[in-house]
Amino acid sequence: MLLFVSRDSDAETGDHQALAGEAELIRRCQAGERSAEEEFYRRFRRPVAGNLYRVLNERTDLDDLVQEVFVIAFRGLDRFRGEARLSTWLYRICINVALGKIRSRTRRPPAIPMADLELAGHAIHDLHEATPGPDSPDAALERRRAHERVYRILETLPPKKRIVFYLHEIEGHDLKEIAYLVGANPVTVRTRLFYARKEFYRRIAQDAAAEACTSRTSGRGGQQ
Amino acid sequence: MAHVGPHRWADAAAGRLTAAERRRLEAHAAACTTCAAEREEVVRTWSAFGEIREAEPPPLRWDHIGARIYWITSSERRAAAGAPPERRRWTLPAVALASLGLALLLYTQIGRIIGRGAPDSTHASQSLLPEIAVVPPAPAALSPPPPLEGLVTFLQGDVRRDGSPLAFDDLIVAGSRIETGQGKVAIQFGKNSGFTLAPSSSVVLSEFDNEGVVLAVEGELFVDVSRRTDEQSFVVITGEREIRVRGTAFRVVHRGGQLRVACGHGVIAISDGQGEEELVAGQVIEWASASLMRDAARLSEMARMQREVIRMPAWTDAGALGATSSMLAISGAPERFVKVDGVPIGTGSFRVRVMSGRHYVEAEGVPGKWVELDAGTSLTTSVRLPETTSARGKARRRAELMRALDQGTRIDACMRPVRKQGIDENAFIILEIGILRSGTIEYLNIVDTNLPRSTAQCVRNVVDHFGFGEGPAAMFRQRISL
Repeated sequence: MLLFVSRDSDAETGDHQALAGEAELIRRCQAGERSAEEEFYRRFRRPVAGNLYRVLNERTDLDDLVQEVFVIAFRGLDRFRGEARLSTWLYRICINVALGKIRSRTRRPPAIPMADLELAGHAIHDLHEATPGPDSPDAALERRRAHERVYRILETLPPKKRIVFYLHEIEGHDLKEIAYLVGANPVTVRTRLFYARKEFYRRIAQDAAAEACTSRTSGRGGQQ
Repeated sequence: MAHVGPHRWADAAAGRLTAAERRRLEAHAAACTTCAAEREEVVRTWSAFGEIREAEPPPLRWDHIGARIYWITSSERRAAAGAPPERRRWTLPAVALASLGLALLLYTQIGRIIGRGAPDSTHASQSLLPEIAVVPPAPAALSPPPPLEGLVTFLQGDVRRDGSPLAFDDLIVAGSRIETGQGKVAIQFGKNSGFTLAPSSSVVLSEFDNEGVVLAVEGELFVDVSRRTDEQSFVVITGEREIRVRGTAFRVVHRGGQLRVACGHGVIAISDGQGEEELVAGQVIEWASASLMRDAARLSEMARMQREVIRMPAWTDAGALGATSSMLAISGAPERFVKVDGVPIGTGSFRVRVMSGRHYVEAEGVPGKWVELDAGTSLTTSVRLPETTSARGKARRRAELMRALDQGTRIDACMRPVRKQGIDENAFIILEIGILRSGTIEYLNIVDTNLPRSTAQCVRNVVDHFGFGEGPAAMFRQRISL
């Protein structure tokens, strides 16, 4: 996961060496050095993919999205003035790309389910694979359901609110950090977050109530 | 007390409440089953948040993504470097317009000044200033529309142009007749426009300029054209019928009077002088039966069309792009699809145009490899499954290579500038080489080096001219200390 590190905290941690290395990498990339671009890509590709994956819960187009983030980054490196850590700046690009993806998904529902079918197979496989140790299949299934529900309800939120909610509630960023990441002022972010939280948790509660109702009904059906 | 808002339970779970607030909410939940159930659900969701935060992405094909990023960014840089400065294009018209404006202003101002002193300004201005007759501009002589030039982007097998073998660097112009035997050719003539001629087919470029493209086809042709303006026409003639398009991708098969047209995107109109049939994206029509095809067949047809027209990502003009791009010749197996930078290109052996720089070449079951090309150069690479060469065969070829290197004074010539600068310490180059039984070098790539680019290229070229004798076929990597 990419950490958000502001300039102040950089000074406090005294991570000058890392910063100097980063500055050097940026300088080399700006000079068009191919090896530097490759290093940049190698260093950040996994965090970028991880961020996009977590924000969007998207497997199908993940490689395209990673590509988009890096293309934007390489195009914009000339204008990068070090106002934030490189990782933070990239995270900001990730968030914007994710926002664009959410918007396009809202406009146009996902098309061909072929890849999804394949992925569904993987998901079942993952379920068995990703349950090492004492975790029973039931617990794993329960966990997966919980994740799916989170993303399902996130999908119902308007894109900007969804992003703010994700960054605050799931990633744990504060308002100032989110304001930088989404390019809005903290007051706007606070307003979006207020409504997003109310909406999200209300739906979670409704969902739980509906599930309880369904299980009661099916329970009765079983008795009859 | 009113029910607790579900988001308050999230605040509690996140430790954002004071102890007093928390106690108050807990007390309420103890007496309210609804709120207790909601609390449980929110807390469960919170634990899911923690797991989501730690979730790892699925494995991705990093090399493919890297290659595509490199392709896009390097193409853009080259296009930007090659583009004429925008301002210059408008300088002359701008100066002309400014001069005209100034002249008009002066004319009106002088008229006003003169008019102010006269009792009847209109009359005075008319009498004092020479009458300027407004002569409508003479109609400009009709100049022919700028001709188009097509650039070969893919070439495979037997392809002829006007009866002679088509060379990869040939520019395709109006009047050309292109025929394929067992070969295939893709030609691009604009940023998003091109066509691919399938085997055993021919096309005549009857018209090929900025206003109109007319292609007469016999056989199979895939077309993908960018949207045309009202003044631009694009017509494919198939015997008695014409296919007119604006911006679309489609496939035409016209053999022995039978016509089959599949539309990938956009709209096309097919007319035969008596009537017109319109085809929209996703439809396939066979003229013999005049019926649309079943879905499954249609989908496979569309999927096939996706990869038929091979285009360069950045387009300037055919001449400039021909000079700045490179030819990558690929020697692959007939049954394996070869991909360049993740894009499926074709099976078997073929030549494809790429932007200069690094590219990732791979085929199913064959380890991918990076190749590097300079602008205007060509490179041959093999993506066949490695032949099973014996260790002895490899050792023999290695020894042959090293012997040739020991004798070669040309390598010394390559290294001279580096030695002069005193930067030859620990200099090395790793070459990947494929040698056929005949002794011909099938491919030769620089895998790694700490030499300057020009020196490394010089060493590679020297090795490329080594005469290997007949012997075992071998493919290997060799580190050469220089």
